[in-house]
Amino acid sequence: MESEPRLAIRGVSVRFGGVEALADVSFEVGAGEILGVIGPNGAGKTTLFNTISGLVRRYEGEIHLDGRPLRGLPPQRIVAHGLARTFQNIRLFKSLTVLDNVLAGQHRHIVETVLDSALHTPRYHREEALATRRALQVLHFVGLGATDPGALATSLPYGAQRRLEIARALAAYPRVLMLDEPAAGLNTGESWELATMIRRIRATGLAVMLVEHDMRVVMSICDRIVVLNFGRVIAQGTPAQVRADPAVVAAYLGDAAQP
Amino acid sequence: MTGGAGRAWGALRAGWRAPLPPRARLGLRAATVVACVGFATAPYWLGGSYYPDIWVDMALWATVGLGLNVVIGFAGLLDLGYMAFYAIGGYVFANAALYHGLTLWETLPLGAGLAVIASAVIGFPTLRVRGDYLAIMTLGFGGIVYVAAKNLTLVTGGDNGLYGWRAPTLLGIQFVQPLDFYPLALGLVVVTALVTTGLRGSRIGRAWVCIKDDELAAAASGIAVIRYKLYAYMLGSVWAGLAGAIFAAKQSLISPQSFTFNASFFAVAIVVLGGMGSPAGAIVGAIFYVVIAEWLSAYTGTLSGVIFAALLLVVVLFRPAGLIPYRPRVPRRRLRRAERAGLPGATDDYRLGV
Ligand SMILES: Nc1ncnc2c1ncn2[C@@H]1O[C@H](COP(=O)(O)OP(=O)(O)OP(=O)(O)O)[C@@H](O)[C@H]1O
Ligand SMILES: [Mg+2]
Repeated sequence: MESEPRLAIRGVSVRFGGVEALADVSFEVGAGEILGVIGPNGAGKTTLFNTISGLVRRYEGEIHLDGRPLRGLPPQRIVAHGLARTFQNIRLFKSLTVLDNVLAGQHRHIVETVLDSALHTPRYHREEALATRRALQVLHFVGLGATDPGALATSLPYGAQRRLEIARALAAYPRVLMLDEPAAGLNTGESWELATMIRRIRATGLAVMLVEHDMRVVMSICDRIVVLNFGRVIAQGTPAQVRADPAVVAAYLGDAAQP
Repeated sequence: MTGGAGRAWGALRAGWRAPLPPRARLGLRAATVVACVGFATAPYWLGGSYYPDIWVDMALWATVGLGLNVVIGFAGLLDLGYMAFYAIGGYVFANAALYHGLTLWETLPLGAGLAVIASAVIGFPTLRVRGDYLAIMTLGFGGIVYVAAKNLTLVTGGDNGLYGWRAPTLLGIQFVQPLDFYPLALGLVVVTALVTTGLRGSRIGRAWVCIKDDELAAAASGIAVIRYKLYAYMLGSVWAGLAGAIFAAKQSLISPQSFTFNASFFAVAIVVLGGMGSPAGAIVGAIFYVVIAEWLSAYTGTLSGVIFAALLLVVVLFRPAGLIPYRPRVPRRRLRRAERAGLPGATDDYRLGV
């Protein structure tokens, strides 16, 4: 790993009333790395993403993105620092077209004043044309190049909606990408296509965090894995190390995914 | 319905939905333009004295509908006190004309400006609260402005209202009759329609719809939710300020009766009737409202209120997206322009030009 990690989590704890959703979680993610986050239902994986992306504001510990502390920043500022994410339950903008969903991800890269927007000045046309090209490129990259960009996002088949949500996140040109169960609901073929795509994303130099229940996908593409159980990190290391860890086997892998 | 008629109806509906061939589409577009121009100029070829007020009121309500459509239709913020900004525009005009001798032309920017400032002052604390409270707080704001109009006699003339300013003039022409104001009001509709439609197709308009659809996902996409809600509230209110000033000038009298809760309610109804988020719908909704509330009521009396409510109910039940639903689409021009600049190739990066 390079000298400074893209994302550093140090001693993060989150409480919801009596529930300790995260307890003293620490790990790092580097550029060009896929970090898997696994754990049983309710282990705190989504809470971890919500905390990093600023949706959960009250936590102990420190989170640094490219060395800059994220504490206290609202979600949109954290996006500006270079973080993008998808959601466990797909959250596309349902009254926007496919193209507009990706353009929404481009939001902070489009330079328009209110006057440009209202009067459709030359700058508006320039910016929108550039943003549209960028959006089409992202759609192409995630395999939606043949999809009608004018279709409603929610009219797409389920698998395509998952891809579109990743496209929206990529359109923000993030430095860290967090995917929350992107393979949920996909069939085997689609899951493998997704795995290939995540590898291609890594190849561009992004740091990727992947929460996923499909162990074949996780074990085959992750460089390192962090295992959570009841909010605590019970193991971290390479897929082989994690698979062999007795604590992991006991807590989680057990009989379900042990090869 | 007999089988044959049923089939014919089905075929008609299917045909309606099917995409038209390019020439037919062009023809349809031309016919629409002719119909719109014909309707907009109707007061002149119908004879100027034919319900002169109705035409101006249609234009003013259309402006109100278009402006409120930004707040409700685009950003999804339920505003039950929108006509407060109409009142502000009206009273600003009346005061400026009566006590400072300003003309309508000098007053329009003033009314718009004060409406925007008021919306910022109200919106800033209000838009932080969750949706359901927003409706109540805007309702309260509308009520406060109404009560202020009734009681701040010094600036509003109380129940008697304000009147007696000199008729506005432009290039030596006096604006006296209601119809004299029609070109101005119509111009305002056109500008409002163009600007609000333009906003919808831009970065800010997309951000509004994102917020309406899913605030959390919007924030996670980098959109400053509260700030953009405030923008929607301000950029929606400015049109009410302008329309209110023209309304006062046309009436040559301004009094609290025009700004009751009912007025704000009907403004919302116009947007819902026409189709949330649909500028064309807001205009059509306003036409329906004024025709029923001002023309039909001459024959039916208070029954017209029931008729409007019934129409609203039927539309909400059977055509929930409104009379002219907003159809999201990608302008072909935008794709062509992107294509001309060079379309993405099969690169192994999602970023362009790397
Ligand atoms: N906003 C919240 N308020 C209260 N409790 C919460 C909240 N969000 C999560 N929790 C609790 O925190 C714990 C961790 O939940 P989380 O959603 O992070 O789990 P997860 O690992 O993503 O599970 P899954 O695999 O089912 O998605 C659970 O006990 C959950 O009930
Ligand atoms: Mg989860």
